Amino acid sequence: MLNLAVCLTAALVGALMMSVQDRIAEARGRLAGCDTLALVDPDMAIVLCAAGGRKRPREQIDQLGASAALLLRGVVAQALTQAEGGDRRVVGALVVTGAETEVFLQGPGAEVLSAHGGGDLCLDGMAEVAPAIFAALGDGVGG
Amino acid sequence: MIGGLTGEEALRLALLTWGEGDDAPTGARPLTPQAGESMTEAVLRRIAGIILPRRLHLETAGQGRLQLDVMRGVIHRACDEAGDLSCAAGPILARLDGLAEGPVTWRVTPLTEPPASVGLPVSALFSRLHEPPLPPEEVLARFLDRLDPEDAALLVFERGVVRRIEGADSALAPLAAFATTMAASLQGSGSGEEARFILLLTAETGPAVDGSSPTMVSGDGAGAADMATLIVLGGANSALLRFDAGLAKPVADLWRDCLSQEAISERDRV
Repeated sequence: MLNLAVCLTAALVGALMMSVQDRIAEARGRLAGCDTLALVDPDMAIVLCAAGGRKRPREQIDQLGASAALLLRGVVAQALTQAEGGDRRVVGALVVTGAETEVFLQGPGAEVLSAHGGGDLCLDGMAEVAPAIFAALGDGVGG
Repeated sequence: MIGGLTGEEALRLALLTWGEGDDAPTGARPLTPQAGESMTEAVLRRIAGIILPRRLHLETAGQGRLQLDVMRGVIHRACDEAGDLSCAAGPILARLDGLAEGPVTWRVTPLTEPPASVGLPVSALFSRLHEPPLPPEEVLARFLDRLDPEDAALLVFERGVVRRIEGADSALAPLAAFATTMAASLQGSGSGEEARFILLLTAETGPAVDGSSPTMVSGDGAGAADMATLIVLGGANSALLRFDAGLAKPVADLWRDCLSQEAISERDRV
């Protein structure tokens, strides 16, 4: 009986994550210039799920989690909010390195939507796909 | 002339900077005047048809007031210079005035008095017209030279040491050394290079009525950020600037375009 419950829970969690994963994969396909779109937990500095147009080394994808943690929760965010008066929070970040672009958007929950791409990564497109993904997370349905 | 540009060039610059959407993230499609239409009139037509609806969205979200100010300033100056563009610009200005009737306070400016606060964005975007594209350091130098301190707080630093502060945000000075270190720790996922351009958007936490956190993206896609902090690493001209978050997109597009062009030039040299 316990095994059945565990299996059902795992299946439910798997279905939920798959659904969010599908949404992210679909959004990445629509997002011009994006080679990786990921949902990140900045508090834990980890990538929850990601979709990529080409195979990228895992450490490169994980770097998105580390960057989100640094920019939106870590010393960067703390120093900036302290300088600005304290009652503020970093809710978005854009980092351009050489020909690469990384974007981080804070959602209503703890999650951050992160994208990596080239110089042509579409910022407007990122803002367009994010609400549906965050809404899916908020609904707990994801699909 | 506006900082060395004709009114028409300023309009084209504004159009280029705002872009036209997904198909042109860092620029605009070629603009072809219709029969009997001047290039300036064609630009005004495109502003009316494409850019203003987008601004309307931003304005509804409580952002974009400064962009509208800038756009009004550019149009006013172009009209003043050309002398006979009032008819073409009239509907656009009326529409801008219409936006002022929304939830955001609007400062109505007579046609003969351009808004004063156009120094940062318009000046910052001048270099966009130069061909071939300037290297980022040169763009930054021009950016700093033309910056109006009333529009943004500015911190110029070199390897963490502050060289100049303008504007009221001296509280940002401690961030100079920090910005240098931070850029080094932010390496592109693929390249391993240090970050050269970092834009951070912040929002007030305020009293959370529903217990939610401030977010960059709300249900309707509108952003809640109201301030932007930009860090540009350019050697002796490294800078940290703070300005209205509504300007973040055009400024980001400008810099990404510069860096992309530089990367292309570098690749071609190799």
